[in-house]
Amino acid sequence: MKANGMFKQTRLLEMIMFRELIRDKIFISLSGAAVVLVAASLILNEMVVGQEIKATKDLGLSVLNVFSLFILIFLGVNQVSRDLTNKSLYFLFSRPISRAHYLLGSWFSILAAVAAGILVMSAVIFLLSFLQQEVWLGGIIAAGFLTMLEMMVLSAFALFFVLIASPQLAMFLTLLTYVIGHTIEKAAVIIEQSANLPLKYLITVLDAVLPNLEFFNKKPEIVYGLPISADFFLHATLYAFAYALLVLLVSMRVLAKKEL
Amino acid sequence: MENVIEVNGLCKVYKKNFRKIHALKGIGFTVRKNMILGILGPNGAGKTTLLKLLTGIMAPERGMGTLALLGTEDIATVKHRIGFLPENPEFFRNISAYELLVFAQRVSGIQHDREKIYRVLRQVRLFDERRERVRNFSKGMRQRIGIAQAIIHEPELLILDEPMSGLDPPGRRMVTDIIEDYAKLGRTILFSTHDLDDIEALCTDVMVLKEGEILLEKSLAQLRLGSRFLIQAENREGKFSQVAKDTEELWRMLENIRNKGMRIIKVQSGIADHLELFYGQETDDES
Amino acid sequence: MKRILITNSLLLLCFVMAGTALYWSRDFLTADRRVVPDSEQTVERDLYLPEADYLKFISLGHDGLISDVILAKALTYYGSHYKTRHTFTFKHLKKLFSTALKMDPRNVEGFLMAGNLLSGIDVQEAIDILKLGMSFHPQHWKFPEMIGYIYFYQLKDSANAGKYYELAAGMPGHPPYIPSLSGKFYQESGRYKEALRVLHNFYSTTTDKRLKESFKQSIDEVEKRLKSGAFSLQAEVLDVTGPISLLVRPDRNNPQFTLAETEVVTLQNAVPPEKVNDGAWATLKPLLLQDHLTGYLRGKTVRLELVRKPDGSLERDGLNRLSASVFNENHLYQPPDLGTFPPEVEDLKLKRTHFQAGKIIALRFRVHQLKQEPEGLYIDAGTSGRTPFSAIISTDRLARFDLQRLNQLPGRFITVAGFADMAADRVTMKIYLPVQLIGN
Repeated sequence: MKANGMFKQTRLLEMIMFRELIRDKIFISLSGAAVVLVAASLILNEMVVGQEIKATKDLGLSVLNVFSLFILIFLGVNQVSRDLTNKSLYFLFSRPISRAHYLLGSWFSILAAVAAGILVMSAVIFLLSFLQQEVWLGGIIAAGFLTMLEMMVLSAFALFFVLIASPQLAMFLTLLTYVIGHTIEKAAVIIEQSANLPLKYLITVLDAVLPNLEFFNKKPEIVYGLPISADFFLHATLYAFAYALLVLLVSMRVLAKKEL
Repeated sequence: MENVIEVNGLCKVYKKNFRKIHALKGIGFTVRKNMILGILGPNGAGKTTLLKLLTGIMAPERGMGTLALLGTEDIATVKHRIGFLPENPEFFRNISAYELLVFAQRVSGIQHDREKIYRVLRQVRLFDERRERVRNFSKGMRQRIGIAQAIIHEPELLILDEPMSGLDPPGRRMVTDIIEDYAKLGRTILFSTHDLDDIEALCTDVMVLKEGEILLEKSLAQLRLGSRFLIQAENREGKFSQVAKDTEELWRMLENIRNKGMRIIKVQSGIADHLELFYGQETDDES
Repeated sequence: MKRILITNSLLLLCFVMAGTALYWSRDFLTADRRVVPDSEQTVERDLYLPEADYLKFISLGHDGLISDVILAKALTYYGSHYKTRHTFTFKHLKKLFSTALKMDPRNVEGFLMAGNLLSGIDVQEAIDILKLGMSFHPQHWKFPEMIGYIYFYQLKDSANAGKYYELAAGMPGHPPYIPSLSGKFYQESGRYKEALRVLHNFYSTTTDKRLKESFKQSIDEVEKRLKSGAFSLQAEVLDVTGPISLLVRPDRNNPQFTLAETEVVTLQNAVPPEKVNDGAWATLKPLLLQDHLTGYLRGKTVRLELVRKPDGSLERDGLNRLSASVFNENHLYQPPDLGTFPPEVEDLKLKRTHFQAGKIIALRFRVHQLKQEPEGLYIDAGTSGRTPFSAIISTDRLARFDLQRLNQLPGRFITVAGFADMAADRVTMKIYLPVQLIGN
C-alpha cells in the first residue's frame, strides 16, 4: 500500500464531494427554478424592444450568474459548514488527506458543481435561442467562462468565511462580497469627489481587499455580439486564479490552526 | 516486540472562552504490536483527544510531548496504514455505502477492488444496502459503515472510538468478531469504551484515563493476578463497598454483612472491580 | 404539539405577509394589463422609479435585464392607455424610456422606438431621447435622421431638419437619399448657401455615379434659384386679405429696392381655391383657407422670398400684388390640403385616427349642450364622446345662423365640417356657415 500524491488525493476528494453536491435536492430545485425563469424570457421577448431574443439573452445571462451564485452559497457553503459542524472531517482527516487536500478538494468540487449548473443553464439558453431561430453559442460559452472565473474567486472567499464564521454568517458574507464586488468600482469613482474622508478610506480599503467582480461582467458586449479580445480573457483568468490562490492560501492557514 | 505506538509526556491544551482546558496532562504509554488496548475513562477524561492525536486529526503542539506511530513521528506518512472509527461517525450524506468504501479504498492508496468491498459489506451486514445513500442510514447502520471504512484497507493499526455505540446485540457480536479476527492476523487494535465487559472479553491490555491523566496501564493478565472480589451492600444508612482479596475473605465478609442485617446488592469478581475503583462512582451512574 | 402549532402559525403569518407585500407592490410590479376604459380620465399615479445612475449602482451588473423590465413596463404603460392617447399625458413615459435606455445604452432599437412613440406625445421629449441616444451612438445615422424627420414634419423647421440630415449624411451606413434630403431641407428653409455647401460636399465625396448625378441636379436647381435673383427680407404680417394673400409691412432696412410701407403679397406656392359650383360649400373653402392663414401668420414676423426680374424690379401680378414664398420660423408656409370636399363623415365616438392639423374633417355627434361664451357659442359633444369636442361659432358670425334652430340642437345628432384645432384638453372646430352644421 503506497500513499497517493497530492494531485490524486485532491482529485479523489473533489470527485466524491462533487457527487455529494449535485445529488443534493437543492441543486435540483435551483436548476428547476432557473430553467423556468429563463423560459419566461419567451414572454418577455414580446414586450421588449431591441434585437431579436434580447430578453432571452439578458435574462439568460443574469440567471446564469445568479444561479451559479446560489449553487455556491446554498450548496457549497452549506456542505463545508456541515462537514465542520458534523465532524465528518474526522472520517477524512484520519485518512491520508491533509487539510490542504480537503480545502482544495472542496474548492474544486464547488467549482465542478457550478460548472455543472452552468452547463445545464447554457443548454437551456441555447435551446431557447434556437427555438427562436437564432443560434447563439459563442456568447453563451464566453458568458459561462467568465461566470466560472467569477465563481472561482467568490468560492475561495466563501470557503474562507466558512472557516471563520457560522454557516449563516458565511452565506451572508459571501453574498455581501458578491454585492460589494459588483459595486465597489462605481463606489470608488463616486467617492473620489467626496469630502467624507472616513467613507473614502473605507471604500479604498474595500477596493484593495475585495475582488472587483464587475471586471468579469461582459454581459453587454456578449448580448450585442461585440468583440472581446483574447487579452481580456487571459487577463481575467490570471486575475481570478491569482486572487483565488491568495485567499485559499490564507484559508489553508486558518484551517491548519483550527481545532476540530 | 516492536512498539506500534510510543507516547511520551503528551499534553494537549484547548482554549475555550478564554479559559485553558488541559485535556491531556503529560501522558506516556506504549502499544506493542498485536496488542488489543482498551481505553477506559469517564466523559471528559481525554480519550477522544488522545485518539484524535493518534490518528493525526489533531497535531500535537511543539514542546508538548512526543508521539510516534508505526516507527515515525510524522503521522501523515503512515495514515494509510491506520484505520479509524470516530464516535458517532458522520459521512457524506448523498453518497452510497458502496461509493464510500470505494473512496476509502482509493484514498488509502489501494486500487478499487469490488470483491473486497462486497466482502467487507457482507461482514458488516450492509451488502443489501450497498446502493443506499448514507443519509437514509440508521445510527446502527452508520456505525457499521464506519467500521467498514475503517477496515476496508486492512490497516496495521485499528483505532475504534466507542465501536459498540448504537449497535444491537448481533451488531456488537459482529464488532467483537472483527476485533478478534484482526487480532488473529497480528494487527494492533485500540478501542475506547465505557463497557467493562468488552474490556474483559476482548482486550489484552487496558488503560484508564481520568481528567487527562493515566490512572492505570496494565495488561489484563496482570490485573487478573491481583483480582479480588468487590462486594456492594446497603443498609438504612447507605451503600457500602468492600473488596475481598481472596475467596476465604469473601465468605467471611458475606457472613459479616448478613449478621449486621445489611442487604447484599452485588458481588463482582474479576478485573472489573479493580477498574471500578479507578473509575469511581461515575461508572455506576453511567450504566 | 406546541411546536407544530407555532410552526404552522409562523407559516401562516409568512404567507399573509408575502401576500400583502405582493398586493401593495402590484402596481409597480405588474403592467396595467387591463385597457383603461374610455370614460376613465387621465389621473396618473406617481411613478417610483429610481434614477438610472442609482439603478446602475445597485444592479450588480444586471443592467441589461433591468433595462428590459423597465422597457416592457414602458411599452405596456403606453399600450394600456393607447385608446386615450390623444388626451392622456403619459407623463412617465419619458422617464421610463430614458431610465431603461441609460441602463442599456447600446439598445439602438430601444432609443428609436422611444423617439417614435414620444414624437406622438411630446415632440421635445422625443428629440431629447434621440439626442441622448446620439450621445451614446455618435456614429449611428438613424438618430440624427429621426430628429431631422421630427423637425421637418412635426415642428415644420426645415433649417434644423437640414442640419440633422446633414449630420446623418456624414455618418457611415446611411441610405443614399439622406444627403439629398439634407440639401432639400436647407433649400426649403431658404438657406441656399448651406444647401449648396452640403450638396457640393456630397457630390465631391461620393463615388456612386447615380448619386453624383442626383446631387448635380440638386446643385443646378439651387444655383438657378440663386442666379434668378431670389432674395429674402423680413416682414410683419398685418392682416390676411384673402385665402392666399397677406397684407405685410416689409422691413425697410434693405437698401437694394424700394417697397411701399405696406404691400399685399400672394403666396407663390398657393393655388386659389377652385370656384366649383357645389352649392353652399362654394363659399366655405376660401373662408377656411383664409382662416387657416390667419391663424398661422397674422401678427407674425415672417421671411418673404421674392424673385427679381432681370431688370431688377420685383414680380407683381395684375393687382400690383407681390408674389413671394412666405417662411414662418424657417418653414415654408404651405396652405392646407382641403382634400375631398365636402369630406367623408366620421362618427366622433368611433374616431380612431389622430386629429391631424391642417386637414378638413367632418364629424357626426350628439349635441350635449350649447354654451354661450364671450368668444362665441360652443356646441359641446360632451364627455360621452371619446375626446371632448366642441364646435364653435364665433360671436361675429353668429348672425348668419338661425338661433331658433340652434336652440333645438341639444340631444340631436349633427355633422360639422372644417379644420380641427387641438387645445390641451379638448378639440374644437370653428364653424363659419350653416352649411358646416348639418342636422340629421
